[in-house]
Formats: sequence, structure tokens, C-alpha cells
Amino acid sequence: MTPTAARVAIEVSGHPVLVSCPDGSSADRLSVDMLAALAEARAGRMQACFIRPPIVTSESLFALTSDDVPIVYGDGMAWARARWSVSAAAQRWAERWRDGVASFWYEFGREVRHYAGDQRLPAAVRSGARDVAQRALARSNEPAAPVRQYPRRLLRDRVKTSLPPSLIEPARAAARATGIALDTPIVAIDARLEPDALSDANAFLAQNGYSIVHVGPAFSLLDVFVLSTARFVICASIDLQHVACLTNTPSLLLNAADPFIGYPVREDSVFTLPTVIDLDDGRALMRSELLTESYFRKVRNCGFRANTASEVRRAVEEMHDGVTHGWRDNEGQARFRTRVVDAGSALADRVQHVAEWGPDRGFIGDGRLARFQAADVEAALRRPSRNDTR
Amino acid sequence: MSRILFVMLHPGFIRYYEEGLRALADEGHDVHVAFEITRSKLGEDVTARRLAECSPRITCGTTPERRESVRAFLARGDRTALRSGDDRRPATRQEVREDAWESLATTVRLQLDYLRFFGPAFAHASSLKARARKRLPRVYVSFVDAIARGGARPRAALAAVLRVIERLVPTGAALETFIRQHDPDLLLVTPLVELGSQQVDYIKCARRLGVRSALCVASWDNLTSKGLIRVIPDHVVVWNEAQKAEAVSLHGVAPDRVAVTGAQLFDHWFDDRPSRSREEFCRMVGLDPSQPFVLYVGSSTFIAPVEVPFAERWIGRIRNGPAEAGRYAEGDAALAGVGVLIRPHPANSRQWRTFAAPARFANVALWPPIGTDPTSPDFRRDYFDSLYYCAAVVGINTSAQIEATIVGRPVFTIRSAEFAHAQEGTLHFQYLVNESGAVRSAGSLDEHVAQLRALLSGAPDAGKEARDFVRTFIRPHGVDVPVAPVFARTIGDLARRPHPVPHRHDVVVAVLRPGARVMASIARMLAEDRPLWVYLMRPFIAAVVWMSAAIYWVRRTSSELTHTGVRRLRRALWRAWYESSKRTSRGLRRLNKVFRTVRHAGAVAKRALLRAR
Repeated sequence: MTPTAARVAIEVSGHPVLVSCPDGSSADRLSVDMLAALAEARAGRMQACFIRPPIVTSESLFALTSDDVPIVYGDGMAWARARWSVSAAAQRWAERWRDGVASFWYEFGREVRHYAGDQRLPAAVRSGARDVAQRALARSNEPAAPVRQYPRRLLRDRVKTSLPPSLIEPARAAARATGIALDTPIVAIDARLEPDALSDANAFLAQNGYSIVHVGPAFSLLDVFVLSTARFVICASIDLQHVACLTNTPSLLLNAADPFIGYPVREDSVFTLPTVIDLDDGRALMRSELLTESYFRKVRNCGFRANTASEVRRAVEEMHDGVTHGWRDNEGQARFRTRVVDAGSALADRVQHVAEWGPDRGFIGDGRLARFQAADVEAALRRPSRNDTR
Repeated sequence: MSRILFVMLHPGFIRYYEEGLRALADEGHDVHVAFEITRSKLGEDVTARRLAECSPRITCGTTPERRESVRAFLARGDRTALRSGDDRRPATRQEVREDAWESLATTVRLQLDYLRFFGPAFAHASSLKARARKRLPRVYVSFVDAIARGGARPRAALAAVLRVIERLVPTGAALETFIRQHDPDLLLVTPLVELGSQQVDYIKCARRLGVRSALCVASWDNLTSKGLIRVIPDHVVVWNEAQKAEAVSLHGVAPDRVAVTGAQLFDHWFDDRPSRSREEFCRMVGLDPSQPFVLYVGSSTFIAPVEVPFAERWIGRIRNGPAEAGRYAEGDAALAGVGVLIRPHPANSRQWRTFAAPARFANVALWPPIGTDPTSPDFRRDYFDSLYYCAAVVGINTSAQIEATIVGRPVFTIRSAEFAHAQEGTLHFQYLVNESGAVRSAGSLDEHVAQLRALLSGAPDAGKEARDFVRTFIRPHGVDVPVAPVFARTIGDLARRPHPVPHRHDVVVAVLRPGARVMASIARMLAEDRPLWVYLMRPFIAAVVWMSAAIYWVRRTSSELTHTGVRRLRRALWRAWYESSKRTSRGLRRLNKVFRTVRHAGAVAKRALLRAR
């Protein structure tokens, strides 16, 4: 999902404008692209111009406006559209060229390497072929398009967004029609989450006066409105976490696939990890093991056990605590963040997934692993273990 | 009595025919079972040994090794593999030819298999199509796609061309020798319809040699979820009329060639009795004996690659009652205490290691424990006991649902979006849930819970549908008529028929085969699935490598020659010098001797002269 759309800075009537065409094929891509463009425009004191992509999965997200960055829309800005098209095409062709060159060296290396094991050839020629193949294969990595990293630093700071005034009243009406109480604090919950896993958390939320509203995955006008007004959102996947970033809603991501992809960028967000099971022997992996190369090599051989209802409740309690009393890390959470950054920096060269989702120039995010899990990590680190791969 | 040669893909297919083979042996037929590949994942090797030991009339062995199996063909197309050398480099021109023909045959068969999924019958079978597409080398995919999208006529035309090419592919001499050695009255093959299957060659060989051949359709999904019967054997032995219709409409088999025998692999389910009491069984698996329990039967990897979250959701819904607007209603009394026994599919059990429901819900258990040997006698016995004692059986899409129907238990399924590829996306699932099917289908978990609740509250059971299903689907010759003897009788009748006239090559084959030989060489190359420019570059790279080798050899030879020449010259010179020096010194010594003799003589003469003076 990571690659963000091409962005081009141009001048329109003497004003600098950052033109972008966000990828509208999914709500999370749309959110990340829009947010990255808004953040870059704000940093460069530019206006933002969004060209309408061919597919827009969520019109309501695309309609969001910003108080921090003036947004001008692509309709009628033929010049901006043309400039962006040329730039995007150039970028696309450059990538194709790089991919072509990389493919050439890769295939050449494979072809020559074939001769390295041909017993009919003299040993000197075979070892020469092996050297040539190694060099070609190494060269194939050089020109390949660099891994597009999830722009953590760009998304770090909030950019104020809101629904345009023309959509707020219809959204309110829709909320009233579905019985959503707008005068009580709202917690949005990903509709894909199992009610069973949320039973304890629901009781806690009800006890603390929250009304619960299910959102997504279509992200209708009502969903976006609820997200914008919710105290926090409980997400089943990173899609909703990214949308919550755009609407500046604190988020709790449950059962993140690994510590890198799920690590929240914003300070007001928390995530939990599932229990990872080695399917060969049924052993539950320690959370510190999820930061090792061997885990990413054998990830297809692992299964995931989702957070239990009581674990979800503890994470929700932490969210409630955060939105009520402010966000702060405990020692375990801070240390886990450091470990994720260190592991991410070490693994980025070797594991593509980490290169995409890992730390952005040493920054993984201001969010945190849920307190109860960070405590487990701390305890595990203090306890000497035979299987510990630290 | 007759000699029967039964070619199976691997020993795992024994389980479909064990009863039938024993019945054949009991009738006095000699049966040799030959396996194309060995497999021991689920203890199939043990099953093969056990089969061979059960009767002296049954023997087991292997088929001749192929130059290139389908698996090796697919491995050659792996773009991520970096290989040095080639272990199976053909040594002779004959081997080069055989390799090329094998590649062409597999390519053509994979294309035919992929092409069939563009037919209207497979409009919803996107996963089956994707599976067939994945096997085909990428260079052909866009070609087949382009033609298949043109409609039925272009598809039929391409299929006809591919069938002609299939006819042009000769069978290996080793296979002919193998069949001649066994000299069978009847050649049986199963499953024949695996994607790209090479068993077609046995049918072709049998035709050439005038041996009667038959395909035994092993399972209920074989004719709809796999490849085509590319070369029609003399007979096709199927379970029931539904499969006969599939063979005729989807594979083009003439109806009079199809024999309906029933499903012999289920015979023992009709006779089995529980091995222990219900209380003992419940205590063994960890369920409360005082409560009824529902058995959840796991499905295979293709059907349910991720099944555990669904099963946990299902258990949660049973325990807590139907969900309403995201909140649970009060749990239903009939379901609140019901036990749940999970039985993972033997070939898809590893994922159940993540199953956490027994810790979260009371009276939930998983049996047998993951890693249990599926060939052990307890395995089947426990399975039968679990079916026998349960109140209902629930599953996604698996043959265990058929077995439960035979045992007389109500069977349920839930249509879920995550399994749409395996339910609406497969044709064989419809046999379970259509009007003559025995499985009660629900569109949602809530509907399913209502069905279960009704059953456990004592609502009238739909037993008649189940009995009708067993009669039409499993035992078409009568519910009380065991299938294995029917199967053995049918096979025996086929084996006793006169041998068909051997097929000879016709003129078309003779004329077109040289052209096909060129195609075979190209197919051999393209099976590597490399970008096309690689094939253009290959001769140049080969030329450079072999020229380097030639230069190396020339240099080494000249260097050796030079080295040897110089050494010989030096040695010759040294020898010449040595010998000449020896000779010279000898001469000098002689000269010296002469000189000394002369000098001595002179001295003597001088002394004598002085003395004389």
C-alpha cells in the first residue's frame, strides 16, 4: 500500500501549489496520500490541489477540507493537471526503465549462473561465470526502484481536516436518523471486529458514558462524520488507522500484523499485537522475537491468536485514560519504541517489509504498544530464556 | 481371472479404492497398483504397505520414472530460483527429444485445463481458474486469455488445436515397456484430471497397445474442480448419475462409456459401530457428557486456508446467541451449554494451533490432537465415534459432511464471504446444498444459530432428504447394497471384455509430427518462463561462455605443450651436455693418462739416458 502518489509543486497565478492525485482505490491509500500532500503543502507554505483519481472509493474522505492548508480542486485547473500528468508519467517511465534495467541484470545473472554448475566447463571458466553472475545479480538490485517508505515523519503532525460545511448538516441528519446520540462522547468501532472480542470493552465504554458506533469499511458520509467527532476509534486493521490519521481521531489498532506495520505515527494512538504461534510446534513467540529477521523469514509459518476480550478491555481502558488525562509513555512503552527503531534500522537493508514500514530516518512513531503488552515485553526481557533470540 | 494394472498418482488414492481393490482380489483378479510419485505426508506409504500385505493377489510398485514430472516442469518455471548447472541434462539425442515432448505435453495439458475454466459452467469459479492460471507458464497466459475472452467459438477452436497437438505427442518407450511387462487385461488410472496430469500417456499407450483402459473417478469434486479428461479412456467409472452428467457435459465422454458404481470408499461407514460409550468418548475428548455436542469438521487448505477465526466466531455466536446491532442478545438456553468438538482436516491441521476457544469457552474441545498419525487405527475409530455421538455436524465444504450424512447426523453449513470461492465458487458444493442435497445451508451465522436451536429443541429432523441423498449420491444401486462388490464386478466385467483394436498412427500424425517436434523444443525452452529477450540473448551468452572455455583449453594446451617442450629441450641439452662432458672428461682423463704415460716414458727414457751417460 505504501507508495504515495506523485506530488508536483507548481505556481498558479504566483501562488505555489502542490498538485497531487491521491490513489482512490482504497480508503487508506486515499487517506495517506491526501494527508502526505497536505503535510508537505503546509511545510512548504503551499496550497494543495487534488486531482480527482479515476476511482474514488470514499467520496466523503475525498471531500474533506483543511483549515491549515487551502485546498484548490483539480476541476478547471487544466494547467495543474497537465503538469502533474507529465510529471507522473515521467516518474512512471523512470521507474519502468529502472525496473527494466534491474530485470536485465537479474536475468543475465541467472543465465550466466547456470554455467557455474556445468561440469563440462573447466573449473576456471565456471568460477568466472559464478563471479560474473554474482556481480550481475548484485547490480540488479542497484537500479531497481527504491522501496517507497511509509512517510512516517510527514504524517507525524496533525493537519486539521473537516467535512465541508455543505456536508455537515446531511451527516448530522443521517446520524440522527440512525439513532446516534451526538450529545454523548462517541467511540467508533471497526464494523469488522468480532463482537465477542469486544464484549468486555463494550461494558467498560458503556459504564463510562460512551456511545458506540460501528464504522467502515465503506466510509460513507456518516462514517467519516462519526470518525471526525469520535473520542477515539478501535480499528481491526491499518486501513482504519490511516483514515483516523486523516480525521485526527485517536486510534487503537488491535492485532497488528507486526510491530512495524502497526506502529502508530501519532502520539494519541495505541496498538496491540496478537499472540504469534509457530505452526510447527505450537510455541507462542515472544514479542521481542517479532523484531528479528528470522521472524520475517518464517512469517508464513506463523499463525495469529487474536487479543482476548479482557486484553481488548485493557487496551480500551488505556485509550480512555489517554483521551481523558493526556498521553504519556511508561518505561516499557518507551523502551519498546526504542527497540522497534533499533531493530527497524538494522533490518531495513535485509527485509523489504521493514524497509517499507519501518522507521523513517529513525522515527517510528509517537504512538505506543499497549501498556499491558509492553509490560509483558519488559518482563520477558528481564527473564532469561533459552529461546530468546535477543 | 484377469490381470489389472491400476496407475495412481500417489498412494494417497488408496483410501478411495481400498475396499474395491480387496473385493477385486477376493474375486480372484490379480491387481498391481503402481504409483507415479511417492508420498508420506499423511502416512500414505504405510497405507500402501498395508494394502500389499492384505492379499497375495495385490502388489504395489512404482511406474517408470519420467524424464520431467509436472512438479519438475513447474519448478523449472520458478523465476526466483537461482540454479547452477542442470542435474538432469540429457545425455543423448533421444533424451533431448523425450524432454522436449514431455514439456510440450505438459504445456498443452495445462493450457487445456486453464481454458476449461472460461466455460459458462465455471462463471463463479474464480479461484479454480486462478489455480489453473498459476500453473501455466506466464508466456502462454495472456495468449489463452486473449483467445478465451473472444467467446465460445475461439475457445473451442483453441481447444481443438491443443487436442491435435496432444495427439501428436508420442508416448515414452518406457511406459509402453511397463505396460507390456504387466500385460494387463484392463488398465485403470486415477485421478487423471490433476492439472497437467501425465497419466494421459498411460491412456494413449493403452490405446496403442490395444489394452482396455478406464478412468476411476476418485472423489466427488474431481470432474468439476480439476483439469480435463484430455484423452478419453474406453470407460469412466463414476459414483453416481450426477458425476455421469458431469463426465458427459463437461468432459465430452460418451454416455455409454460411463459406468455408475457408487462410492466404495464410504462402505465402512454403513457398517461401523462405535468403539466406546458416549460418556467414555466425551470424557476422552474433554467434553461434558451430560450435554449434546456439535461437531465442526475442518476443510482442506484450498477450501479454507484460514478457518480458525471463522470457527471461533461460530463458537462465540453459538454461545452468545444471535448478534443484534453489534451487541449480543441473551444466550439461548438450548445452545448455551452445548458442547463443541472441533475436528481439523488431517491435511490442514497446523493452523488449528492458534485455536484459543477451549480456553475462552467451556465445553469446547479439539480432537484428535494436532500431529496425530492419520494412519493409526484410533484415528478412524475416534472419527466415527465423534460422528456417531454428535447432535449435528457443521462444516464449510468437505467430504466429512457426506460421511456425517451416511451416519445419519444432521449436517449444516454456513455460507460466508470468506469461503465464497469454495462454496459458490465450486460446482461440487452445490450437490450438498441443492434441493436434493443433505446439508442445511444458512446465509448467515444468525440463521445458522436459529437452525441449530430448532434442531436441539427437538424440531423434526429432515432425515428423508439425507436418506435420499445417500441413495442417489453414494449408493445408486440401493442403500443396502455395498459398493465395493459392485465396483469389483464392474471392473471385472470390463477386464473380461475383448481387447480393443490397437490404434495406429494416422497420416495426419505422420505429417504433422516433425512440425510438432519444433514446437516441442520451443515449449521446452518457454517452460522456463523467462522474459522472451532472454531466449534471444541465450545463444550469445552460450557462445561467449564456450568461447571462453575454448580459449582456456587452447591456452592450457599450448601452455602445457610449451612447458613440456622447454622441459624436454632443457633436459636434452642437459643430457647432451652431461653426456658430452662425461665423454670429454673421459677423453681428457685418457689424454691425461696418455700424457702422463708419455711423460713417464720420457722420464724413464731420460733417466735411462742419464744412467747410460
